[in-house]
Amino acid sequence: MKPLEDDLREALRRKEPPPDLAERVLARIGHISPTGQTGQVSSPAASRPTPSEAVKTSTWSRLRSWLWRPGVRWALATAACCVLIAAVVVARQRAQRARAEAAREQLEVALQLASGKLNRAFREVRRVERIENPAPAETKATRRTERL
Amino acid sequence: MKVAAPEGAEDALSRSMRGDPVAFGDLVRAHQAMVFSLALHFLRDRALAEEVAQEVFLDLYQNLASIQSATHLKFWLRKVTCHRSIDYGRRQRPHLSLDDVPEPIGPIGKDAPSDPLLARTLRGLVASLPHKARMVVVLRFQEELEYHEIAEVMEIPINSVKSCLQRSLAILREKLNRCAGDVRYEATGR
Repeated sequence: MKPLEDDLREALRRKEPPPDLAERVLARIGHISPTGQTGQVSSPAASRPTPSEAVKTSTWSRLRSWLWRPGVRWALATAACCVLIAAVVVARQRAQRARAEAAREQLEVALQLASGKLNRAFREVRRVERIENPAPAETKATRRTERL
Repeated sequence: MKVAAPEGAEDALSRSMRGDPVAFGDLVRAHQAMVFSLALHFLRDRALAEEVAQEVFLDLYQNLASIQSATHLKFWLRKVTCHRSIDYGRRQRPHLSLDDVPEPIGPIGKDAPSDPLLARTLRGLVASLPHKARMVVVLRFQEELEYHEIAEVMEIPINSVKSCLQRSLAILREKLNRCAGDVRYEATGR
């Protein structure tokens, strides 16, 4: 009886890659000529990334792989949802405040109009009363009320 | 398994670092079987494994300046391949389960030196393991790495490697025995 470990070694033996894998890698790098021969290559120094470019690329790839982690993705999605909800709440509050402001202004205008009308009506009533029942002697107080 | 890097590898590496594309091609050819097989055994998808291998070598090209020696290059390639394969594996849907693995037809020959059906079943069972455990098994049995080397490549504690491997082997043993319908493997003390 062979142990499982030996069977695993046999099952997981190295496999041969496609024969043109290296050529495809070189083609992607941009070192290979259109004829596809590795011997006819362009100047390596020209197309080789500078150290700063390499650092930039590796930083970017590290950042990308960090962002691809499930935990980070969930955190980002949750944060985006929170920002969206907060934005909606703030927008609704602003709209509500604007509506309240407009209603207050309308109410003020309405109160001013009503006050003017009431004053006019009161003055008219006083005038009619004075015509119908003329007072023998007007006191200071009644005169003040009339002026008002 | 730390093998001293041959002179040719060091030479190809130093020439690649100086910008020789032919030498870089030699480096790719020297390590493509390892990189491709790691990705293939982990992902069980030839096209994806090729994509991973290409990306790893492109990554290597961009980071050649940070490679210190041929041994470091091998370690670097294993590490990057592991992480890339795990990333691809996470994106790969649906996850392969044991139900997707073809069962062996009839009892498995006990003394067969090389059984392609058994090998296929084993690869399928390995693919049904969780990502971390799967990579530990592949590194252990494809690359024959020691525990501490696997721990370095995967950036996990050595005790995690040991427990992960023991658990994985127990699961594989149990599943394989269940598939075969008889007791083929006995639990070992490892």
